[in-house]
Amino acid sequence: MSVDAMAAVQAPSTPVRVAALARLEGGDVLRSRWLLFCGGLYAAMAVLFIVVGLRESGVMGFTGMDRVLLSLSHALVVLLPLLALTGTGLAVSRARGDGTLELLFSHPITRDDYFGAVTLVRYGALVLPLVVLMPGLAVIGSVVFHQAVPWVFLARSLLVSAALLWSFTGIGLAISARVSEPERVLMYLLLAWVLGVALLDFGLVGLMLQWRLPASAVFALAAVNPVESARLALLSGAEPALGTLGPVGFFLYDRLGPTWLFAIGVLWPLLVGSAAWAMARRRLRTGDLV
Amino acid sequence: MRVELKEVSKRFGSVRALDGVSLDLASGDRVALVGPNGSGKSTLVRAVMGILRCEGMVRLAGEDPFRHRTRLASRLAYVPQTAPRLGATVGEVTRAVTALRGLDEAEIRSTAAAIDLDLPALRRRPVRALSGGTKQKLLIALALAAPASLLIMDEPTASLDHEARNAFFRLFDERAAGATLLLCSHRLDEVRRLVDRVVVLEEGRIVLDAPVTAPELAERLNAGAWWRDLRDSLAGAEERRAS
Repeated sequence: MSVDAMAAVQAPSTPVRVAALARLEGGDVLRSRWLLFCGGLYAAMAVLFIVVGLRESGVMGFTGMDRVLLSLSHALVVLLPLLALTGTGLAVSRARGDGTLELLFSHPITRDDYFGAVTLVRYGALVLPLVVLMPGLAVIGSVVFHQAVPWVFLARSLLVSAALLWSFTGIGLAISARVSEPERVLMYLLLAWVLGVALLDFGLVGLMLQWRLPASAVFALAAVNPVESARLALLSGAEPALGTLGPVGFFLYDRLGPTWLFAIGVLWPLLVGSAAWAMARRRLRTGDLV
Repeated sequence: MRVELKEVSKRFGSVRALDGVSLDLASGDRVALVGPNGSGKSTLVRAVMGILRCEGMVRLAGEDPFRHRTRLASRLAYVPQTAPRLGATVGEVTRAVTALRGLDEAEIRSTAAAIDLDLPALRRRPVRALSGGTKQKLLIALALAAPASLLIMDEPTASLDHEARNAFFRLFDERAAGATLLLCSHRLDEVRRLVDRVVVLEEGRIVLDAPVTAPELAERLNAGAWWRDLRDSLAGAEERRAS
């Protein structure tokens, strides 16, 4: 048999290739104790809010367990983008820099195989602890403190959190695929997080007053921010109040109503994340791999 | 596998890494790419592997490696000069390669054993924790375990001791007979032992492409230390051919 004939073996199917790459990537995630860190952080926050938050006083119409979950969700809205960015931002750029990509791509894999495996593992490592821990801790909290678990609110919070995580997973991967120097990657990641957290109603209103920004610019900046969308989606179940929703939130609530506010709060981060992910995928498919 | 490059150029910002390189390797040719650091050897190899987008034409067996990389990669084996700093264990990497190549793990084990690498004993060790020589042996075992019609090797024996180097040469003769070889090397013993033809790159251009017996090669071998080193290696290659 000729060398060419021997070498032209049947390539494994796409699921086999993606699974092999995902196992490698997953091993890295487990070794870095990322899952443990995420899970621990979510759990610590949840325990903190349950222990200090289960009082009968009402906040925005929420009491007891509802209030705990609302506070937890609010904290997560600020924290989740940071976790997603740090969990994904160096995934591709580090593999490119240390020669891993060069070695991997000497084997019969496609760029989509690699990117699919990285996305699955990194997003899974962010979402899974949340999906397991939040309901688990809510049940524990309800048993210990004899409170009913607000399952609907919990499900809505998980949905919003998963959408927000996807949004910043896409942004992190886009930065990672586009930028190769680790220092520049970190700078862009930090910038993305700061913008996400700063361009909320309250920060923008401050800017508007300080620098006389036009109100339309403030509205536009807040409306395109997936963190703001997620925040409004979480608050969509509350009584509308300018003080809690902020001017953009209040305006949107008034125009759209709670159902649409929630739907947009889930869909907009998903859309932003998908657009960023598609950009990252395009960069990997058409650009240099090293 | 036939390798063709026509007027291939590649820029990284303002640096021109390859400048109109044309090269034709028939199936079974064994060619050394030599040249000083920064001459474009690695860029050329990466263009052939289809992981860099270049101007000009690159073809492996008549196909564009950038567009048809997966199909061509199943017939390609690559040994990088240095192993990436993988946190993955030897077992994880071996399992991934067996899955991606459709190989039996026993094939990798037997290839590793041929260069004195006890793969089962290293299964749980992270790749980055291995010594330079052991990492190099692992990369060689992973590359040569599968049948390949194009071998690309970047200083494959740089971290190996004398015995391991000889074991590698024996394994190469056994596993890679008939395959096309593209070797980047500064090591004279590698060039002497493995190739029939030398391509010299300088500043992204081919300044010499000749079989070891070409008369014009001898004329150029009298200028400078770089050429003297190359001449010594080629003299070794001629001795090998004669024997």
